[in-house]
Amino acid sequence: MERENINCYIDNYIGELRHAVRQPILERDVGDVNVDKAKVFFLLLPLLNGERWTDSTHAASIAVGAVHIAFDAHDTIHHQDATSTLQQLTVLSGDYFSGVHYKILAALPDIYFVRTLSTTIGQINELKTNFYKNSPRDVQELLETVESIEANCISDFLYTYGFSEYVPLASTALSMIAFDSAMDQAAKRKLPDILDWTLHQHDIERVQSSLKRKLEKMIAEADFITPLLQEEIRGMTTPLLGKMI
Amino acid sequence: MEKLQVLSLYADFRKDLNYIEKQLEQSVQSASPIIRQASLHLLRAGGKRIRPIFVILAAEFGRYSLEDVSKVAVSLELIHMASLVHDDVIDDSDMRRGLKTVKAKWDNRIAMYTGDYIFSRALLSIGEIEIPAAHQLLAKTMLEICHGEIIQIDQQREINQTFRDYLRRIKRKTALLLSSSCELGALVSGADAEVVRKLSRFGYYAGMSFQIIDDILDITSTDQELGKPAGSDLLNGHITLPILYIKDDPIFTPYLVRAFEGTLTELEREEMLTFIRHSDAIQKATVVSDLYLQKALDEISSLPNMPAKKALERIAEFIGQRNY
Repeated sequence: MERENINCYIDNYIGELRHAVRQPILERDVGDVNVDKAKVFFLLLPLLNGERWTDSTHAASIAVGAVHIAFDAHDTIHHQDATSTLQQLTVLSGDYFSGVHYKILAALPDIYFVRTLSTTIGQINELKTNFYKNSPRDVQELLETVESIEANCISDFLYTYGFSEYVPLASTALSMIAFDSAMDQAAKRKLPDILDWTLHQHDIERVQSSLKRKLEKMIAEADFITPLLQEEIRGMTTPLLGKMI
Repeated sequence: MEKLQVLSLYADFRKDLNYIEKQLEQSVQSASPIIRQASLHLLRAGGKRIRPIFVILAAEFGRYSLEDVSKVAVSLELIHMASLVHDDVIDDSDMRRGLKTVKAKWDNRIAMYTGDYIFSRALLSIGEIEIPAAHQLLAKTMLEICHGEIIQIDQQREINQTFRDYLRRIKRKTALLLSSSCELGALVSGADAEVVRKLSRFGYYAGMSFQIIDDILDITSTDQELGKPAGSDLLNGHITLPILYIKDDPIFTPYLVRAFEGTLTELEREEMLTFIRHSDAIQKATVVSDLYLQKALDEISSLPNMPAKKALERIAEFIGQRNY
C-alpha cells in the first residue's frame, strides 16, 4: 500500500464517521467534528496492513470512533459555565455520538462488544475524574492512566476483532503521542484539562524517554507490519524521537 | 401524602422494586470515590421510578424473570439519571428534588464524567440481555431523546412555537423512554407481539400525559414542593403547554420576554406565576393531558385482566392527579 492510499483510507474513514454522527443542528451550530487522525490510523492499522476486514469490523471501528469524539466533546465542557448555546449543544453532541456508537453495535448486532466497550468507557470516566481532582501519585500512575484513556477503547476493538498482536504497538504509540501533545501544550502554557497534572516537566520527559525505547523496540520486532507502516509509525512519533530528551 | 399514594401504587411489586433499587446502587459502585458519591447522591435523591415499574408491569404479560427485568429496568433508570445530570449542566441548575445537583455540589466537569459513567453502566446492564431487538429499540430511543434535547436548545427562547413543536419535543423528552420501558419489559419476557405493541403505546400516551403534568406542576407548585424555583422551564427559555395557551396575552407577553432575556425580577416571577395560575391555561393543558391518559387506558383495555393491568390503570390515574 502506498502512502497516498493510507491517507485515503483515513480520510474515507473520517468522512464515514462524520456521516454516521451527522445531525443538522449540531453541524450548523457546533461545526465539523474533529477526528484524531493518529487514533484513526491505529484503529485501521490491521486494514492498512492487509488483514481481513469485514463490513462488521468496519462498522465496529466507526462505533469506536464515535466513542472517541464523544469523549472529546465532553472534555471541552467548561467546569463552571456551560450556559452558552455552543456549550449546551456540545454537551448534547457528546451524548448523541455516544448513542450513535450504541446504535451501530446494536445493529450489527455485537452485544459482547457493547459490554466490553461500556466497561472501558466507565473506567475511562473514572480515571478522568480521579485525574481531574487529584494529581497522579507517580510517573507510573501517570503513564498507565494516559495509556488507558488514549488507547483502551482502540485496544478493546483490536482484541475483540482478532487483531490482538497490534495492541501493544497501538497502545504505546498513542500514549507517546498524547505525551507529545501534553508537552507542546505545557510549552504554550495551555495544558488540556485531562493532562492538567502538577507533576514537573522532567517526570513527563522520563516517561517519554522510556516510551521511546519501548516503541523503537516494538517497531523493530513488528515483522508482521509492512515496512511502509513501520515507517509511518516512526513518522507519527518523529517529533518526539527527534527531540533532545 | 402524594408520596404515600405512589408507594401504595407500587405495593404489590415492592419486593421486585426493592431488588431493582439494590441493583441500581450496585451498578454505580464506582472505583472513583467522587463518581460513586455523585451517583449515589442522585440515586438517593429518589424519583418516582416510573420506568422500572413500567418494565416490571409490562413483563408480567409474558414469562416474567426478575433477573432479566432488573437488567432492563436498571438500564432505563440509569439512562434517565445520566440525562438528568447532563441536563443540569445545560440548564445551570443548582437544585433537583430538593438536593444540590451534581454540577452544583462538584462542578460541570464532574457532572459530565458522572453522567457518562452512569450511561456506560446502563449499557453494561442491558448488555446482559442477548436480544438484538431490545438493543436496537433502546439505541433508537436514546438517539431520539438526544435529538429532542438538541431541538429544545435550538428552540430555546423562541416565542413563536406551535402546539406541534411542543408535542414533538415532549414525545422525545419523556414519552419515548416510557414507551420503551413498557416495550422492553414486554420484549424480554417474550410477550405476544400485539401485547408488546399495546404496552408500548400505553407507555407513550402515559408519557405524554406525564410530561404535560410535569410542565403544569412547574407553574402550579411552590419552590419548596418542586425542590427548585417554580417556573424554571420558562426561566430556561422553554415554552411548555400552559405557556402556549397564554403566551399571546398582552399582559403576559412582557413577562415572557423578560424571562427569556433573563431580566425577570423575583417579584415579577411571582406575579407571572400567579397570572398563569389564575388563567385558563392550566385547565386547558390538563384537558390535553387527560386526553392522552384516556388513550393510554384505551390501549390496555383489551389486555387480559390481571394485577399488572390494574396497576397500570392505577398508575395512569395517578399520573393525571399527581401534584408533585
